[in-house]
Amino acid sequence: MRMSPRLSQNLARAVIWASAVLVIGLLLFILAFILAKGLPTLSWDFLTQNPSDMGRGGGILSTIASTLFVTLVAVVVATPFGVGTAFYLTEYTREGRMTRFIRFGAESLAAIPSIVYGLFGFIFFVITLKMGWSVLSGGLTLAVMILPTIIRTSEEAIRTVPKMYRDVGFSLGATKWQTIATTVVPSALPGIVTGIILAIGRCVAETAAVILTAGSALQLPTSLFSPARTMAVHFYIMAREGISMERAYGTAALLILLILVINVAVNLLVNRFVAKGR
Amino acid sequence: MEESATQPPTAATPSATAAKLAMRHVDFHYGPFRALKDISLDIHDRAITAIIGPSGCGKSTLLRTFNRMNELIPRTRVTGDVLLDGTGIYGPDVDVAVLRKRIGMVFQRPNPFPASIYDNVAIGPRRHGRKEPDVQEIVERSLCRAALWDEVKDGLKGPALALSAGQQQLLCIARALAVEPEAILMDEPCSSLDPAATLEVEELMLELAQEYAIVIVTHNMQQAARVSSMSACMMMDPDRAGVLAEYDATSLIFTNPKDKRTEDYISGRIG
Repeated sequence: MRMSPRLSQNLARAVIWASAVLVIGLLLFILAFILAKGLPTLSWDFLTQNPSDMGRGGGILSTIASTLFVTLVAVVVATPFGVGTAFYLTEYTREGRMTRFIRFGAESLAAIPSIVYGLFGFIFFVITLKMGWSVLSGGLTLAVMILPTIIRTSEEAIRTVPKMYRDVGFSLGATKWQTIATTVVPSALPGIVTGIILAIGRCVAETAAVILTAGSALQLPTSLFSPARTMAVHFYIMAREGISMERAYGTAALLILLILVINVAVNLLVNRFVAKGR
Repeated sequence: MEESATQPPTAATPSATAAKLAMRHVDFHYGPFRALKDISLDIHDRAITAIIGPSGCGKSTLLRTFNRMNELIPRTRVTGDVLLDGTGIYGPDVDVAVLRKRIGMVFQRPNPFPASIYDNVAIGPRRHGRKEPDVQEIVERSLCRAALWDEVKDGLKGPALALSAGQQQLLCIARALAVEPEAILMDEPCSSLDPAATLEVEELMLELAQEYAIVIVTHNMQQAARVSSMSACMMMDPDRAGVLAEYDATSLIFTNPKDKRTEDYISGRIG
């Protein structure tokens, strides 16, 4: 017997609703769970003091700073290369063996587990280049890791800019670079920035790649060559070694808030930029 | 077919006798496909030349050969001579950016950038190194020339995309005028406009024709008859290459076409 159209319609709606509610519910539950466990630990002292006694006491200031430094290095290094590659692939070369090869390479890089990046960074940056466990080694390793994300999202963003805009640019006597800089870049920027935010999220949350390259020292990093323990690594160690679950949750809660703040801030920034023309 | 390409239009000003743009035995290839075959014609200064003909006969390709926009497409090739003021534009020492600054273009659909009205017009002059007090003057002059100033002068910082389609097309014409071109190419500029907006654009074209050489591609016979002084009727050869069937004063083309295919096209039997 065939299902009546009305019944199948209602059934489909119920299934789709249920999956949406389930997913959103799960997300909210995780968020609420960690915030409920972690927020009571958060205090001014927790944010402004360095850890003491292997993390049993004190705060997490040095891990916050380490997270920001390592992420900053990664984004500053990866953004120009990633966005540059995306522009090369979309604007400066024709589809061919070369572009397919680069894209295949980027996709393969994206699929590699982060621990492999950690191992690579450890052997290449830490040992071979003698950078040691440091903010720089960690940042560079993360830069390699987020490169594919930035390339792919930037490429998508650039591709969605109507070809017509480029034609107009050329027809006004602009060179290729001027056309790209004044018409393609502004239109593609929101998409490119979204990709960078995604990349920041990955950096901030990464443990495996960082623990092998930036180390797990608890002091406040003072230079690019200082070893560093990021927040994600900190709560991994705190939880794994059973040092202090409540401090691990506190760190996790702060990490979530940090990612939230970064996303909202960058979105506001992009919207303001885009709104100028709309 | 007679060689009538060098005859000036009936109501021409004296300077119209000199060809602003010209083609001599031009062939155009997309890869192995020949899209234009042996095109020779003179475009008069300070006059409107219409390019008419059935779909796919190479009208837009012909138009875009004048400002080298075709070469943005890979594997295209031009042979023969394309001349601006008697000088070849496909020569090795020609700066394409300078060429395109001299020959403006208006596209089929209104396509302002998602920016303010002011910035849309200012983009050309800014790119060519003009500074702000100059730019402001050019923007005002261009919008005036495009008959849009009165409507937008109080909202120059407003978004261009909020304008009506007709106003957007006038804005695109102002944007093209702002780089101070010598000739303007229009690729079916009214095909997405309503009759009232079409009329506005046509009036503007007649106005601009007092200063510029204008070439317009159009599917609209009445439009060609209304605005142009010269008409080039293109046709497709059996091998699908575009050829120039007839080129003459518009009044003659529409009343007394010499070419059988032109006659059939204009009277609506083909196309």
